[in-house]
Amino acid sequence: MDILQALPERTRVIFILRRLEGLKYQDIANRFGISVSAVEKHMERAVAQLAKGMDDRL
Amino acid sequence: MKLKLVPGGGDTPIDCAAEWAVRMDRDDLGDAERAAFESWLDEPGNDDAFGRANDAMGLFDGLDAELPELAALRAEALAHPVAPGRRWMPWAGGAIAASIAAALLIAIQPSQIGERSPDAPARIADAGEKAASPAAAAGTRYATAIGQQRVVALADGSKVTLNTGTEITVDYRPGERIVRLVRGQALFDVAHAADRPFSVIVADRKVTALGTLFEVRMDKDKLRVTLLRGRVRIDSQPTAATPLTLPAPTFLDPGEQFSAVGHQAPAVHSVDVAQQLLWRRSLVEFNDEPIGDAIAELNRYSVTPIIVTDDRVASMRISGIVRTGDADAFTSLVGAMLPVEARKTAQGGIELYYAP
Repeated sequence: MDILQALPERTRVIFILRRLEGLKYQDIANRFGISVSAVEKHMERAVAQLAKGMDDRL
Repeated sequence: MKLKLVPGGGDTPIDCAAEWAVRMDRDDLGDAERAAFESWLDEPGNDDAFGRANDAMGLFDGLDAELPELAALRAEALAHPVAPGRRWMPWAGGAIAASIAAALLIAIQPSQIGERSPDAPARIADAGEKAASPAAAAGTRYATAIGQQRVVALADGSKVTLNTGTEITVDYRPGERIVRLVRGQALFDVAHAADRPFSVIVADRKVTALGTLFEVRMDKDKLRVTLLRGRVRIDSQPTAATPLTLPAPTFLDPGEQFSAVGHQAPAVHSVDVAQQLLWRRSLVEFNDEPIGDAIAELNRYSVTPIIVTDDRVASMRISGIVRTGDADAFTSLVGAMLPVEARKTAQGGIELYYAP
């Protein structure tokens, strides 16, 4: 059961850069050449999928 | 900032909850957004969905980012190609990431189980901890560490949610159910049993449930009892320090909070119950509160405290909702609104200082 690994690659990387590395949304957007709202979409997908994955474990 | 007050129509509660969690993670909510969030949270099922999304957002909270496993995750993320078709470093490979993620799950599992299994049999708290006071000597003890929360299901079907740094003992007898709040804050959801009253003893007071959902909180010398549903009766308990004639009992109605500081006369006033209970969702809300008070509240959840030594900073006022245990989010909220900056202290805490 590997909930982080189950995320799409870029979604996982963005979640880690934000929540572990502490980069701002704008910085992540600049880094990948995408919009802030695209970063938000990745974060939303990560959180929703992790929340469901954590739930399935229990 | 784009304002979309009600996250996506047609999404599942978890998807909406994820949108709210990201909104809060990115930026502080404005007043209108906070109102929309609270009314969304009140709808059936959303409260639970948000708790799960918030747990997911906090996957790394409380873990040291320098741990080898986490450092490897960070390195992998930082090495990820920054623009299409361009690679800075070789891809680390899925196998390493897989083992790291497994380790993370083990690390978060205990608190997950505590939070998500209200129906599980009551469990005795960490055997490694010793009872902290004589009051804890009788009955079964349950406790949370700083930053932890747990739900305890009791034998009679009652449910107790413990907030950070809390300790209770449960002493069930045939004719009465007695819980002692040794320290901290707990929410009691009491199973009705007319012939077996349920009481919480805290400091020199006894709170008796009359079919009820209520919360009791003790900070140093301040005691608070908040009633959500039903009715409670609060009696003073005789102690060596109190006179033989005890004051009359106090009764609370839903939405009322009883507060008492030391031996001063207690007060009863109406409170915003939804705001009072945000802690169950790992959130804390500040409404035009001095930074000094806000920090005291947040520091209950963290072993690496935020400190302020400058009274000019401590007396500035702030509003917003922040995740407990996320000191960085709080300091960036403050920094964005006020002439205040943050720096790390030698002890690993965060100091806020005046930066006009």
